[in-house]
Amino acid sequence: MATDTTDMATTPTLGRKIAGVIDDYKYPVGFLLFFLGVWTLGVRAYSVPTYVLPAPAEIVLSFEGELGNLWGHTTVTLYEAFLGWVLGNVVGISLGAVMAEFQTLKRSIYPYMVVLRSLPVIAFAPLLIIWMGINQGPIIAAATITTFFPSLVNSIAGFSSTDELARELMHSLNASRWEVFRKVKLYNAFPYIFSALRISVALTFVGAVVGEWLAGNQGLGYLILVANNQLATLLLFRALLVIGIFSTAWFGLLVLVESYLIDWENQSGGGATR
Amino acid sequence: MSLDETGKSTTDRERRIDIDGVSKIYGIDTANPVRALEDINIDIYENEFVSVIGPSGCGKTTLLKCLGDIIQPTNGEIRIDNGSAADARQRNQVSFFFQEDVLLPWRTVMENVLLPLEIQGADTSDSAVRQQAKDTIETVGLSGFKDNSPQQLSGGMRQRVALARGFVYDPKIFLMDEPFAALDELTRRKMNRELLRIHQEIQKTTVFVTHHIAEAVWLSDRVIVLSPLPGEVHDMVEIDLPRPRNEDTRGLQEFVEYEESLTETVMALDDE
Repeated sequence: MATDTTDMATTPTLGRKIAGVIDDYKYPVGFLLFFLGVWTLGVRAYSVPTYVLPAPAEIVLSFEGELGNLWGHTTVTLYEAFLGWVLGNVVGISLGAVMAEFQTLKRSIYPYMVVLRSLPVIAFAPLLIIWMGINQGPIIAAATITTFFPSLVNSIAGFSSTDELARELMHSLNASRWEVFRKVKLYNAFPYIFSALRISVALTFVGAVVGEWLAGNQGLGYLILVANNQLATLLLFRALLVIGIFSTAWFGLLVLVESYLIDWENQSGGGATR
Repeated sequence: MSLDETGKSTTDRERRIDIDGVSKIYGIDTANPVRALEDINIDIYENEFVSVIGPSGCGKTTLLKCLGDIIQPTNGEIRIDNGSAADARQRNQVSFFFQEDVLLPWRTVMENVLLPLEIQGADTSDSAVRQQAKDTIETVGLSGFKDNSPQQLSGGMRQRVALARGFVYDPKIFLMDEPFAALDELTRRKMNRELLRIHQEIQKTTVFVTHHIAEAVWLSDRVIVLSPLPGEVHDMVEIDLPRPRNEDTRGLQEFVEYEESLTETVMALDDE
């Protein structure tokens, strides 16, 4: 415990904390400002027309009066992306758990999952339209499919990650298979599941946007397509910016929830299990 | 109970474990099968503390895992209280202690200790059940830490929690696989002292695997020396030192003699 005293001396005060945050963010923020500066100057210097590339300030200013319309499309896309994300993860995580538990099933199905995963599954979207018609169905299905595969793979890895000693311990305590699953494997899988949830945020937006390109008559993906046809580049950038903001916020929320729920992950390594 | 070839002190006690002609061959259907254990015959008696020592790879852990029904012997039979090793495990009569603490990091100390009771179907919100866990945590000297998570504890403390988890359901037999091997020298000695105290207090039949000879002599009623590849019983030594034992026991002339002669035996085996 004697070594702790040196740590005590550097226990962060509020001033130090702020200094720490500034220190963490000064380079990325600096780079962002530099990037936006170069963008602005470049557009000005070469008189790039707005329909090719608007300046950053122009994009921000163009939101004025557009928020109501934009919000309507945003809710549509968020609904599709969220539903696809939930469905893809629920199915992916459950199937992964079952496959990790029953090796015969895993050995029968997994090779095909690997093949499917290496295909650009989004290319199946037109098929979804044939099956489901032009409505929100194929859009949600596309978001589900893009979410499903990484979720499945992570889930299998997570539910298989319990080490031999923990299995032996549970066996020596006469635990049933279900108890081993519920009391040990499930917890070991949590970090992998959260990783799947995070990775699939960006993917569900890919599914939803591409789905809207093919079968949508509203939503941010649809808006991007319209903007493209009309060379309304400002509109296109607004839609992209909104997607970026929501996807980042969603991702960030997951990171927060994970750090709240899984408080044992980062501190392991104490004691004999090193 | 019949007379036993291992000595007079065991004749008046009841036999708990009967290891009868046990062999274990790993990779029996491969080109290079490994004979980890060969025709092991050992009887272990009520409340006896038996240590198993021997060079690395002599099958100590394999033997212990056979006793705990974690692996199955290839040949021979293990009987525990006239049932099989599987019966004993399923009736929660044995407790296995691993080389690592194997604490579940998402559970507090209390919840880790409650785990065996939970699996046995006890209601862990019941105050009597909780009291049982609390008492056991007190036995290993961690009363103040029952609501801590394992990550907040030192290696020695974590291993104490593992001991409490093994003690809590009051099994009849302890199977200990070098439970303190991963700890530093000082902590290990402290833990041995703790184990000696607890064993003298609650009197359990114990099979203790170790490669530390002084520790084996200090704790045991009997020390079994296994030879490596194939693992066979090379020697069996009654440790006729008075109980209760304490730090002074280490200073006895007999203690030193036991330690030296066993050290020579094991070193000779290691050179072979």
